[in-house]
Amino acid sequence: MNYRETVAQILRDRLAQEKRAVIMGPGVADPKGIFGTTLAARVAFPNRVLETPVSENMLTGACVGMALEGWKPVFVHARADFSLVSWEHIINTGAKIPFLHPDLDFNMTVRMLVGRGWGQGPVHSQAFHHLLSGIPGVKVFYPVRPEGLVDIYTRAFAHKGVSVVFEPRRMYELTTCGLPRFQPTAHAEILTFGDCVLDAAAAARDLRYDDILVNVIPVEDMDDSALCSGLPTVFVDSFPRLRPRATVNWSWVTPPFIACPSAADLEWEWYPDKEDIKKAVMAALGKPYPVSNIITGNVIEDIPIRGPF
Amino acid sequence: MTDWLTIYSSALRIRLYEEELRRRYDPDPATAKIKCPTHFSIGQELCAAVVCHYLKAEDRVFASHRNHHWYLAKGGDMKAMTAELYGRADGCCGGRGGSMHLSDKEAHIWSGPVLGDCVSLAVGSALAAKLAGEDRVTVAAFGDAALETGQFWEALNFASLHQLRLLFVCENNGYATQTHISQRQPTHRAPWRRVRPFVKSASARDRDFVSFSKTTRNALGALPFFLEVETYRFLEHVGPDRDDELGYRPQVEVDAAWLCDPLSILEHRIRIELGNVTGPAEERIGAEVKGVFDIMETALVAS
Repeated sequence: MNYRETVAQILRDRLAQEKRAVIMGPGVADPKGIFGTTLAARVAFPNRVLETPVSENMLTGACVGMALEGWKPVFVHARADFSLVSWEHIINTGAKIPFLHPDLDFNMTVRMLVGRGWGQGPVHSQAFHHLLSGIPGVKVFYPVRPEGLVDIYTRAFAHKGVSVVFEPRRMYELTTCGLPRFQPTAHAEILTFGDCVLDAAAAARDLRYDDILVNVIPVEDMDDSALCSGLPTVFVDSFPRLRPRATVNWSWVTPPFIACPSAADLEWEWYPDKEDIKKAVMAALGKPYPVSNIITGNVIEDIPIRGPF
Repeated sequence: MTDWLTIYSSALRIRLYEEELRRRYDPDPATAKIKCPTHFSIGQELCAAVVCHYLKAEDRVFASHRNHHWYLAKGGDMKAMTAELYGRADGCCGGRGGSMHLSDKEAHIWSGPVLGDCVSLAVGSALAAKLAGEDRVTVAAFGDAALETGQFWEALNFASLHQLRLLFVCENNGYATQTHISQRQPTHRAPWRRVRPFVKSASARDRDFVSFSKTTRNALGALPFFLEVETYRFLEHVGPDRDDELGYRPQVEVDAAWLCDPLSILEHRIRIELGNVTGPAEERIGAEVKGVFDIMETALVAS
């Protein structure tokens, strides 16, 4: 199953297994069902997939109120950009419940889809994982491996507090993100945030032709502290972020520190590609770039988001 | 008449508790035993006492930063509340929340400090009741400034759309911190009139006890409903003192409010109708309140 189908099954299973789970948000019960992810749940449990007004600020607070009553709400933002009015309740009320009332069985999960491609532009392409992961009580996930989605969502639903799951739209039609096989004797590693895992995997494949072994590790659980191996490391994010200055051993690859442009050509220039990543890996290893003329295609065929939405 | 005495006792309990709190409140962090800023409800007790009198035990109340009266009127544990103010582990939030987070799961009262937030949470609770087929009532209790937030209007829209069993109680004391409502809202239409396109609504004054009680009973039979209660905050926005010296409230207005104390008016009415029956209640409640505070301070010394 691809990413989208897996999310759809997870949501349907959630409603089947948890009688007080409910899915809410603008568009969850419309004919397209958030790119098809809520359709199966809606067919099976029409009374618990609630179409809502476009009142995300209040509705996120309503999810906190429902969770206080023992319900397990899943709120959906068709784009993470639309979630900003929800942050009041994610941060000021929901995230504080486990701190103030640790005995409560409290969980609410917020899905935020991250757009990319077909003119998503400045305010349909943003991901706020690094900002929200700095809030105690909020647990942030950024799953990219379709085969790992069940595990990620199991953790999200089990978290006591607010779970925020970012879903990259670029991954929706893919059945794998094509990670290269893990190399115990790797020379470097690439830690990725979001859909740039695809570009990192392609970069790792290229570098193998020059006997440079690189592990690609997607950071899907933002609390994961078991990631630092000590190898030269390149962090890759598909969204701009403030970042520490790079050192010899590690560096960052991110889009430029401006908003994402709408026009398709400009947009693809804005996102880091595999050449940017290869360059950063070589810099972290203290070696020259380019390494060779061998350029391969992407490991996984990219399926661009099609218009009109 | 029995209702009158019960409601009066509930409001008096809040008043005596907060008067004791005022006496013991020390704003110096170096010496204070009460460990948090505190928003007093003095003057507004009847808003909570009347509404909560007509609620059932399983009904919910979601209140805001000025919540002492709602917490106590809904049956919140006084010891756990006091312990919370003293920053003790046996407080209702383990001593981590303080005055603005007073909540009691058993009594179904929740409070949070950001104005307007409680309205959204109340919507969620009311929606949960509807989905579960329960007929309990949820009350959102907030000040007049909540009407200036977007989520209030979103809540009104949603409550109307789903016909939730939700009572909006707007305690209109005329001020947001030190800013008069005329600087914040167009005052040619009272709040209760502005919400009419969404839900039924009415206005009452806490000092007009009989009318207020009747309006509350009617409101609970016509949910969702917006009930505006005209009231007055006797003390400063936060803290145990008066703040007449700031001059943001006309002195004549403050003096008139103290003179027309709704609690004194109700006591007077009860004395006329029932005779001197309030004395024993005052004595009993006074002893309860003092006992609770004494336990807190004794335990602090012992630890």
